[in-house]
Amino acid sequence: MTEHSSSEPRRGLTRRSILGGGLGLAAAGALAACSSNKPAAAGTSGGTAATSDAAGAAAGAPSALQGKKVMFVVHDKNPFFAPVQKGFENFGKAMGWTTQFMGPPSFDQTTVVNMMKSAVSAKPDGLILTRIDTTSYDDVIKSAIAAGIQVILSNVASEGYEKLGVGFVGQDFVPAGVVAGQQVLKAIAKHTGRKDGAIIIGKIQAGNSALEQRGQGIKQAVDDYNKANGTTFTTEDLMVGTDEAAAVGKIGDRYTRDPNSIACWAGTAFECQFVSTWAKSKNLVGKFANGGFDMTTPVLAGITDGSIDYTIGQNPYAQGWVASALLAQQIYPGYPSFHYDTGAEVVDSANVAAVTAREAKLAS
Amino acid sequence: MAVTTMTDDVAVRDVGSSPWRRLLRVHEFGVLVATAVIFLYCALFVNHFLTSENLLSVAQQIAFIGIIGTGMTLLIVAGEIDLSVGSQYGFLSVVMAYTLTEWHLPILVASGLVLVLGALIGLVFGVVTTFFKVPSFVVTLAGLGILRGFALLVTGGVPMQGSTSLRYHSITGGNAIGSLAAQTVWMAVVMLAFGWILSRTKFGFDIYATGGNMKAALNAGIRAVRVKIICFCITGALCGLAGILLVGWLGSANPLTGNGFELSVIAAVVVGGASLAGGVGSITGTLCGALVAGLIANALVLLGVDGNWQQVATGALILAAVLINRFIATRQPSMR
Repeated sequence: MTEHSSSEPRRGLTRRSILGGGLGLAAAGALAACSSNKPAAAGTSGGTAATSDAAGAAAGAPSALQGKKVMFVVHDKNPFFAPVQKGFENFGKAMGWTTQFMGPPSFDQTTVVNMMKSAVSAKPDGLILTRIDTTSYDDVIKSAIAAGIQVILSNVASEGYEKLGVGFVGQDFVPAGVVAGQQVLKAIAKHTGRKDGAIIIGKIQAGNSALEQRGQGIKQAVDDYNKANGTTFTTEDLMVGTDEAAAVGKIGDRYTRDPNSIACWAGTAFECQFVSTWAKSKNLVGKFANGGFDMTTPVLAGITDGSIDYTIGQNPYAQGWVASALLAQQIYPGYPSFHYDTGAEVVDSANVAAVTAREAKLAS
Repeated sequence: MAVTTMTDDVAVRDVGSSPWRRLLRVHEFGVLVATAVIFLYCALFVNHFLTSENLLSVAQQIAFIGIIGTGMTLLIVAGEIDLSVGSQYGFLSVVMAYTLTEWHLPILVASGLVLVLGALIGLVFGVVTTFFKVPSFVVTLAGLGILRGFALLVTGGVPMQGSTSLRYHSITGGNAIGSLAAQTVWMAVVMLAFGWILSRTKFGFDIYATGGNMKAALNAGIRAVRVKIICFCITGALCGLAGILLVGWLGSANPLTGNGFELSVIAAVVVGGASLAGGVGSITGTLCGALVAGLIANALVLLGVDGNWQQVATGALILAAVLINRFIATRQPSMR
């Protein structure tokens, strides 16, 4: 151990203080730069947190609704939620709200719960949440309600949400799955005319009740079709994840296992864009049917170029906009919310141009 | 190196000086400063931060990182690492829920089973690492995939219900005193117990010696292989404890529980001053590391920081905390 004079520690401490203070200030500056508390910059960035230009945009909103802070926490901030966020922020802007949209980059139950808890601590006037299983988020929802925060669920609510006394804006997943199943069978008839074969039900995420219910709906439609028409289609699940490179690999592996067995790839979310990428790279477009859910840009592009047959939309914009609107009437004058079904819009080659033009408006 | 650090700390403890100078010499001083800087910033500039409700919420939010981070600290100090803790935590949560709902085991029996299973998983990793000389990051990387796969297999990919017992929920997820969450108390008990073991017992010194220089430790008669295996077992059992608490708290287990959690845990331990080379680290440091992560995550939400920027800010602030810690650590010898 080296001995030093007593003056040296003081010098060291001074440097430490300077560095500590400097880093502290840098951190403070960085946080301030990212914060939503700067109206103009945040409001025009299209970013997640936004404070609207209250003076102009909210001129028509009742004064009791202006200046509210509303937060939206999703379970997994993937591309699907971009229009949801847009709808949420646009409504917030119209009302003169401070809005904040967030979610973890990949799903983890504890991280989501913690993020929701922090949102409750921020004491917003309203909170919009996704509830992707039947119990894990109930304590947070109850604590928010107990704290006087207005709560509504969006995108996915899971069984039993009604007991919490909250509304829900989103798709009825099993019926939407049935609609998808009917599109699957129509597309198989168009491409192959087959009476048998495997329908591969793709999934981007385990543990998500919405995707499970859509898969259940697809299976139900296939079973009903088999019984009515004497066909022998089978269904099987394939977990592909959200990473495109890995997903394309898994799709290719399943095809390699038994190429002739596959009649259709039927996603429960946007897996069809991965199938499209893979099929185009292998020159296999048209050898089987391919479809799924959601209206992400690659999915619409796939329908346009013929590598995807259909997708089922669930009006994500409404899941932001309508959820906010219902929340607004909860805040003032105080109407309770209800279930708003955002539907199961079929998008195929017949209407893809109009839908693409519509969705492009959300990008601006 | 680590043995030197430990010896230095002991020696420093014996030297009479003012409490302030002794504080400056504490190994965790850097991370303590970083934690204090972040805390002060939040207290001064973040609305709703300095409320008992929010601070207790942060304490609850870091509970699982703290509990599993305790095991990871032992392992990293012993010169090993476990990349599978997130998957272990997820798998053992699922097993807990499964044994309660499918086998209808009493909660205590199911909990015991999960703790033993966690320790056994650690035993397997420890044995493969030490006897077959396979680096622990490779063994546990394989374990990460295997255990996540088992979690998905057990549940069929869907969330699994846990017990509806109110007593179980109260002990694991209720409030212990006032608004103080039970998980926070569990974390405190675990960290205090293992903090004492690591700093005050022969086994703790053996861990430092093993991680600092394994050959020297073996020459000194320390059963270094056994020490490492025990550290793996403790880490596995603590993952089991976290799983038991999670299922009691949330009432369900998701097969994706703990997805990416290993990174948060390792970050907490490293921010807390532990060296990935082994031989250096402490439970106090890990607690501070977890606090840094928890405070940052909480403050970013309270500040209304853009969701995408939160990722950037979290990484940048953790780096800043590590730099403060490292700078102060390198300056410490000059103060002795």
